[in-house]
Amino acid sequence: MGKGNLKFGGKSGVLPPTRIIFKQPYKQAQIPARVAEEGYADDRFVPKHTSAWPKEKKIVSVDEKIQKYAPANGAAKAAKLANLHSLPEHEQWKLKNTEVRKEYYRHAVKEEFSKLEREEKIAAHKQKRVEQLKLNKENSEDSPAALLTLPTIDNILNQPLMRQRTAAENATLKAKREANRLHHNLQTAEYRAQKLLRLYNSSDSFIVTAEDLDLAINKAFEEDANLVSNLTHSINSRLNALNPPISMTPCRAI
Amino acid sequence: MSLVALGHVCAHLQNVTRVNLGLTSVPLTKLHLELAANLYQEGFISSIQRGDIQGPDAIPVEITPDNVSTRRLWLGLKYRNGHSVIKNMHLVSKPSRRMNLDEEEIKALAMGRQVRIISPLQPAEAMFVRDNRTKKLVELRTAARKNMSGEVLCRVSAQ
Repeated sequence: MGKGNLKFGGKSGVLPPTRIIFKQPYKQAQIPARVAEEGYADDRFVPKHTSAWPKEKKIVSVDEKIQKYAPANGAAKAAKLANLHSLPEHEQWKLKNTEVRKEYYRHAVKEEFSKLEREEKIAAHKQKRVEQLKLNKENSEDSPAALLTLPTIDNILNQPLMRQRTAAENATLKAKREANRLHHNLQTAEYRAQKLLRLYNSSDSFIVTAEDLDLAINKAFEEDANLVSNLTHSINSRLNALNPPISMTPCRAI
Repeated sequence: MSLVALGHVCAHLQNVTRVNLGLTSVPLTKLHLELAANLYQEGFISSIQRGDIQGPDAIPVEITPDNVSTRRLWLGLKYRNGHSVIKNMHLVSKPSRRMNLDEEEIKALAMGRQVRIISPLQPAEAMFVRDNRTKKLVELRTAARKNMSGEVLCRVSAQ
């Protein structure tokens, strides 16, 4: 990079950056709508010298701007302009200059406004086109190979994978479950009833009083005594039946 | 949605191709069906059939709550010159490390650049992306063409 104006591409001078004519928004559409979630949740916690909400910008229209900086001439000035030749020369120039500046200002403001509107239109159109292109890409159709090879699977994927039970099927299933439950309950009840009956039948032989107990004891001992006597009697009778009786002499050792 | 089941499917397909099976089955879900359809489109498998744990259906069977647990997806595996077409298949996005890519990253990956830890797409390789908007599984190049963003689920490479 060279020195001096070489820095600026060899230009003899560099113009200052252009000033923006419309610093303020010039129409309502330029101000974004207030978002409900914006700002502070609680007004008590807003820091000092700040606002809970963004400061609202004043809209300055083209007419207001012209009215402020290049207003139409009043009656006195209009009269002066009508008798321009009667005035001294320097005053004539001064008035003419003022008029020219005012006219240029009005023209510039109007031009700028139309330019801004035009640019806005172009930007909106561009944005719309970009969005449309994006949408076209997203909705672009599949290749014929993809479309023709797997129509069934695509169809399956677009539908629920499983068919839910119909009302009739649900009713059948409910009835089946109810029947199962009743059957199970019946089986349980039958089993319990059988157990109770068995207990009831066997309760005849249960000893529940003192007399029953005595009776049972006596019976048991009597039965045992009878059995012992029977056994001894049978053994004796058998021994006696043997003829000759068995000698009780021990065998000689061989 | 967990990717564990998809990880099992990837591992299963890789394993069965290494023992030269002709037909295998995976659980029947929408995601697995989408993956199978994409594998079929890209030429990695030869057939897709619905069936149950016994085998492919001879006649179409409707999926109901009574038989849903036994339904399977039967995939025909492809071999060429005695070698399996599928060489490697594994998850890219894992339950412990999700890989959600935006449109630009998807395009970069499809163009053969490395994106984060995802190595570039090689020839004879396919990656499958689940679109954020439609939740459909699409191949990476299709996703790049359609300006999609989404999660890169798995990649499969041929011999």
